[in-house]
Amino acid sequence: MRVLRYGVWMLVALAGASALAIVGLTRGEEISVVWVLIAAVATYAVAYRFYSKFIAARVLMLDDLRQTPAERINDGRDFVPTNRWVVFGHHFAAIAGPGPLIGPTLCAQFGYLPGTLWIILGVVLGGAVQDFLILTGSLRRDGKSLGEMAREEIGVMGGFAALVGVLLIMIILMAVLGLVIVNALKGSPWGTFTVAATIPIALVMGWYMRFVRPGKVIEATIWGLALVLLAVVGGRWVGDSSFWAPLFTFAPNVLAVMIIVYGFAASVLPVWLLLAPRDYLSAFIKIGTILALALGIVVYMPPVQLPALTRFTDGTGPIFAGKVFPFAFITIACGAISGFHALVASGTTPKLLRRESDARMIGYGAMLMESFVAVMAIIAAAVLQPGVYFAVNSPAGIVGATPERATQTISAWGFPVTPAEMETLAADVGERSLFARTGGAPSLAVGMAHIFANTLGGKTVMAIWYHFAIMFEALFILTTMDAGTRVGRFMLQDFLGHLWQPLGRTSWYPSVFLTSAAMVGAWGYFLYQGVMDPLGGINSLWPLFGISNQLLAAIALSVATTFIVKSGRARYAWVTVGPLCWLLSITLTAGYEKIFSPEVRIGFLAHAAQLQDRIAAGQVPAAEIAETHAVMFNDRLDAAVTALFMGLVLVIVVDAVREWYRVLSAREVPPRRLAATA
Amino acid sequence: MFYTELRAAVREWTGDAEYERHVRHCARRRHSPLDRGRFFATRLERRYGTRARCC
Repeated sequence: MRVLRYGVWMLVALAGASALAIVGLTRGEEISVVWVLIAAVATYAVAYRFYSKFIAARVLMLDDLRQTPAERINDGRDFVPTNRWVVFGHHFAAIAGPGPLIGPTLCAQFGYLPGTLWIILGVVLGGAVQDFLILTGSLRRDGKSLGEMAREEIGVMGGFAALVGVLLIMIILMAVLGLVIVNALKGSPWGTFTVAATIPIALVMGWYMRFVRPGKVIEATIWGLALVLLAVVGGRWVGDSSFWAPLFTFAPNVLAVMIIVYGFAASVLPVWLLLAPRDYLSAFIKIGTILALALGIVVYMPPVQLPALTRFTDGTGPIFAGKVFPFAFITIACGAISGFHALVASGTTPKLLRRESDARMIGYGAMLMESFVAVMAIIAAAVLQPGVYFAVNSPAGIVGATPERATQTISAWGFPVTPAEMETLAADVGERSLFARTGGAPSLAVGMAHIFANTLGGKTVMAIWYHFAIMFEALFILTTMDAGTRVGRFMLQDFLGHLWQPLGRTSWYPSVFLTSAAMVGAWGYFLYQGVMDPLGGINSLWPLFGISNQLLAAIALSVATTFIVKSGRARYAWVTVGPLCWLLSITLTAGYEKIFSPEVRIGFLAHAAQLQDRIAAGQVPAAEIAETHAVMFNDRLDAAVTALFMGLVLVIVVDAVREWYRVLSAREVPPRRLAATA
Repeated sequence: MFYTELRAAVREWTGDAEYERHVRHCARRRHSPLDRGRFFATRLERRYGTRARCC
């Protein structure tokens, strides 16, 4: 029996290795997506069966006899022993945001190979390990947050740096997600109507669940979903109407302002009215769509059209500038490794676990599932004709503002596409134009619509599938923004409460308005800056987000390594030190390049200096001087934020290494450290 | 059997079952439970005040 079992695992490993070899070594020939799927699933299976089991048994020594906080505290509110499948669902819904969909779509500019390999290998050796260890660490510390654990395990400085880092990352995250929505909805009355309709639907659901049938989430969600689907179908009529279409057609800067106002409203309104019902809608649509996409890919089995590697590995990519190393690895965060997950794994989830051993399935397993979502996103990008992919994702400032100019530029890169093809595609998906729809969401929606339409309904329903995909992306991006703004507001209130107590009261309206305005103002500033950026905004904001997210992962891995060292199993510290070194090398290289690279599309300071030279040479018209000064200021601000992230992480890592050295050399704890952790 | 378990899991996941758990908890502790609407609003405020959401 044992031989048979090992034989099966040998076959799984062999299938995975063969598929990885085909994916990695095929050049100049079309491959089927089936190889990508086999490579991913077999690698996940082997890693879960053997590597996560090794970590559970040897590194963490999970023990079901040790009581979990949910069992010990069991207060019926926050700490509740819960079925592991239910916790898995909660945890997966919280970690799977738009990141694993958008990042791989953008990274496909290097070809399908770098992103695919990073997603598959990064998750099994890095991302899932981080989530698993932080979840277990928090589980053994009564559900403490990452910041609290950093303060206790590494030191006060580490805790403070983690807190500031988290707040800054949230600001950049909200801005970049807002930018993705703006680019998806600009000039699209159908899409804008559909997304706008979700707001009144959520409000009515909230009122129903609060006053009509209190707490009846399932029935409210069922009719809410029906109304959302009706809005998707009805949006076509709005888009075709000469009266309604102009009312739902907005310029990017107007959409940005609308999102900022919406974010403020969502932060100050009661949760039950807007945020929670929207979250219920979003969670069901998210899980349903991801399952449908997986099914669609398996049924349709489209060929991969994108080459394994494109010419843009040299750093001249139109979507964002920078070489494949390090930029592929910061562009895909969620899906491979994401520091933000450490916040979820040290938040609600550890307070629900019934047994320690459940942490393996939830921490490691849910991250593998998220990685699979990222694989599907890269497949959705890779099955598009490459010329179409670049036409949708390249900003007008790079490829040219007219269809003719853009298609000429892209065709000259070796990815043929014509204005007529783009016009037909836009008509098929019910849009006026698909040129320069940067941000990843529109091209992902085109890829998803392509897969869905070829599985069910054909070309006649492609427009409905496209707008369904746009609604799906926008819905849970907005949910992430609502929740993020609110959590950011609470963090600010917590901090300001130390300066003046009333500001810390979460129900005191002057404080609620002030802190919500500060949080929304901060991400709104970066959002507006991205919208007005002639290079599309994504070029500067997405790498900034990627760097900050991966640096947060470096903080989490430093904390996790400290757990291992302090538990007397330093011989296994390579489990976290390996990914930590890799993350530090990619993020510090990327951060350095973003600040100091002489290439103006990469280096913030070089871009500012170029603009300064243009003004000095009189090449900037008088009317544009103020705007150019604003762009220069933004470049320098982005450089400063990047430097701040790098500084914070270096502080934490150095502090952590000092702590490991102290423990390993069995030195006494300094008195101030004892006082801080008491 | 499968349907019952699935229904229970979905109710648990969506939070539909939380009020019943609250009532049971209060009965054990001899507290009077909140009414359903108030419990729902309080529960959501707590959940979304702390729950981090990933990118």
